[in-house]
Amino acid sequence: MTSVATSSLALPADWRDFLALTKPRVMSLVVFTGLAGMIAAPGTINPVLGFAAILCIALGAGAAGALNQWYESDIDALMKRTAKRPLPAGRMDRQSALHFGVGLSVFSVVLMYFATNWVAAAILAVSILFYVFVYTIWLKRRTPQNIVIGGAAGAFPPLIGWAAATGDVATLPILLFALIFLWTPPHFWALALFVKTDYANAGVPMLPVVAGERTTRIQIGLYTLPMIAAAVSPWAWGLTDAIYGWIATAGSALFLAFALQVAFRTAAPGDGMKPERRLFKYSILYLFLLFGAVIADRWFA
Amino acid sequence: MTDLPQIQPLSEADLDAVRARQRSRAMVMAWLLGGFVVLVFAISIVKIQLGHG
Repeated sequence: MTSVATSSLALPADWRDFLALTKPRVMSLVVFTGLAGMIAAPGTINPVLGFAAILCIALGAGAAGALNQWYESDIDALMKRTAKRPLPAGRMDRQSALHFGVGLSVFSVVLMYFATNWVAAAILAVSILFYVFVYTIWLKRRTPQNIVIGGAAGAFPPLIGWAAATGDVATLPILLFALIFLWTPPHFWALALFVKTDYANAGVPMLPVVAGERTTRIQIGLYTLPMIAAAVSPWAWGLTDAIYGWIATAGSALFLAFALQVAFRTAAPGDGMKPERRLFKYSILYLFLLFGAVIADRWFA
Repeated sequence: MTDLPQIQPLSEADLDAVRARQRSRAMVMAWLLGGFVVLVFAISIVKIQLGHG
């Protein structure tokens, strides 16, 4: 890791840079949805095993994030939003990031198997491999459908949490998987609308870059509809109670209002893309709200 | 024959910076390993109590 400098000093990477490789902010949503899946499961899991399972989900997500940054350091360097990450900023060498990502991936899956069961460990392994090979390596640079299919990678945590508690999968965690899967396109396309130039400069074929703003706005509106169907379906199918039902309905109505505003508007120069930024921020809160409602429903209903 | 690159010796300040970085990484690694040992111990105890192999 330490290299001999011929002209300037190359320090070993700081531990904070390894932490930054794991994308801690993304990890918080992953951990929360995994926790909700675990709590929603029937029966109880021993707190020590539950803690270990959530830790493994976090480590697996962090490992996938590190491998994503290892592979994408060239395009990260071209985007303002990502240029300060450890690899493009030159604070870490690529091999360290690769070793860290692979090591953490294996560690998280083995620990998950040791602490819980092979079903949870297998789904965790699939989610890491899907994010790295299907999304990062195969889709991201090739098609504007990258985040539509790649969104599945971020949707696995409720399934893993449920499987850790029960050793099985069932209808409710599959619906929660569908919710995150269908939430990803409007969430990322709202972001892509206001960082379009960044993606264009880096040559990433995000929908606004390839198909234009109008198409992206229409797609945001269209994808919101099945997302809402997935959001309310656990209540409609009697898998959750009224607490979740009311929060999902109210939260989805607000999401729809914001999404329709984005879908039917045309951005004017210098307007700051406020509705798009609002939709992006609200979409994060929305997911926290709905998975919080899953937990509340299990505790209080 | 190719010339070998001129390797300049590190100054005392550079060496201090490298050592400080290595020390902070070693401390974090020690805490993580300690946490890992405690976690594996706790998981093992729970599994024994639950009667799992």
